[in-house]
Amino acid sequence: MKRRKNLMWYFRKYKFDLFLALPGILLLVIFYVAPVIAVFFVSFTRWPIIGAPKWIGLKNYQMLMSDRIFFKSLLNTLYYAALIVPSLTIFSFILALILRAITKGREFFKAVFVFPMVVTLVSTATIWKGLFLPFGPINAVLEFLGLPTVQFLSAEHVKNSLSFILIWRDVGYFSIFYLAGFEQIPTEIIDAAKVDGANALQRFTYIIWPMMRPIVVLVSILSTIGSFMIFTLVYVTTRGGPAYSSEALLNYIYDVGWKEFRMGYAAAAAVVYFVILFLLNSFQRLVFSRE
Amino acid sequence: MVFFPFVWAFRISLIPTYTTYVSFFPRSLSELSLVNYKYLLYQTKFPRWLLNSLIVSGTATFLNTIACFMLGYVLARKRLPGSDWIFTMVLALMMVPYQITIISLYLGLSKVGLTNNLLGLILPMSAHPFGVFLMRQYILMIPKDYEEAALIDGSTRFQALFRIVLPQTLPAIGVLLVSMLIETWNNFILPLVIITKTSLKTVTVGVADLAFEILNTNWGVLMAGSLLGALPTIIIFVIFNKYFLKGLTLQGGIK
Repeated sequence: MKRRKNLMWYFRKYKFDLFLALPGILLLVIFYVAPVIAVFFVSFTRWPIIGAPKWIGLKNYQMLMSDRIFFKSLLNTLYYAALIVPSLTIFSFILALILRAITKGREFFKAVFVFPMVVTLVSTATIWKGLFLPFGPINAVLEFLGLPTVQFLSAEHVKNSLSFILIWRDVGYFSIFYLAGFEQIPTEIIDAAKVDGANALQRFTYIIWPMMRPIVVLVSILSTIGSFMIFTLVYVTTRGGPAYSSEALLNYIYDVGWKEFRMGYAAAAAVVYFVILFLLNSFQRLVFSRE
Repeated sequence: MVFFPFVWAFRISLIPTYTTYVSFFPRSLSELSLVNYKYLLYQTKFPRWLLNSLIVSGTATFLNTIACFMLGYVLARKRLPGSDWIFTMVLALMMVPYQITIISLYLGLSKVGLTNNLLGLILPMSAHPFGVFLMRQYILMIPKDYEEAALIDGSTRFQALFRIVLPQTLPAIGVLLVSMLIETWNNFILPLVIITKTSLKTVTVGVADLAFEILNTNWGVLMAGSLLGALPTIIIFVIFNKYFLKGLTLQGGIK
């Protein structure tokens, strides 16, 4: 009895705040928290879209272990990440250094370099697909320069080509993160170092780098997440082909789930995707924050 | 380097043939034509896709902003017991790649009949952990004194929130509106799995379909579609890029 009275009392006291908080909390729980937890359960079932799910324990994971296309797409994803993450981390740092040196109209250049990020990736991918055509404009330029033409979307080059598109698109975006970090470094410190006779390299290694390290971690983590999400780019340009050479994990999950209607199996692959990404990110945190 | 692909796409979209193998600069103005745009607007479902995208990203952004503002306020002022605990959950969610949710989202939405329904797109996009984070951090910087004074002067909590706190939060709300409009417009994987009916597709999925629909790709139409499909976010960015960049800076600066 007493307990119920307490609940009512709480309810009266917090009525308005509950009214404010509930929509947000409900939306987050229903559309973020619950689906993340649910995917683990789904991964233990056989779940054809039509019909009831059936609990099959770890069987999906056992099947994944001997699934060659799954491993192919996993390796492809790691290949994308290995190419994209260091490039983005480094190139956007360099771009930020350049942007920092621009004193007049920096805001304008920031906007220019972020621009590709704003354009729908579907459009960007479609346009680059055209640029990369065997007789497309890039090859026309190569030919004009007397260089050999390249089959950009062939099995041999497709992963590099797609990585290039993503790097081209995101480099400006991440440079903004670095710029924000630069702006937090007090200019007095750098000026003082200059007065004390520290050269550019010393100023970089002893002042800029230590203060920028948290942002390097952030950029490398976000670009890892970004490279794991290369789905849209692959879907629009090649649909994973030729012969699965550009298939990324998310594309594989999509194919299994929505082409073959094996939701349970797709969920198991998604859990593996999530775990690998989580491990990678933890590793990045560890490496960079170690002193 | 930044604009070349888009300029090239624009050039191709003005050529009334299937080819991409053309000289970059037109020889005469009469060579150019709008036939691809006409085809896109009259022969395909493109206008419908644009409308769907507008409905979805407009509604989702609107709902998202209200929900994030209200929850962010409660969390910033620690009005509820467990506010910090909820905020920790929000921070954790920001680190989860949301693609992992699509399988269960799809299964759940199809159970309640929201697949092939624009509502099934709007609701999942209506709460964003980053939005809650942004609102909470911003409201933390607003002094409590104004609302307290208003309360003493006899205004209700509702009035104090929407007349006193809301106007002071407007800069952050601008940031949230612009970033969410762009993000929801560009979302691809969710509409791809939730919507299969051609007339309900969003513009991103529609354009991706065009790219694989016709065996002999009509590049002119495709480029026209890519550009028109991206145009709304480009316009928003050109006008409000300050807000968008501010949002990025906040993301990079605070974490």
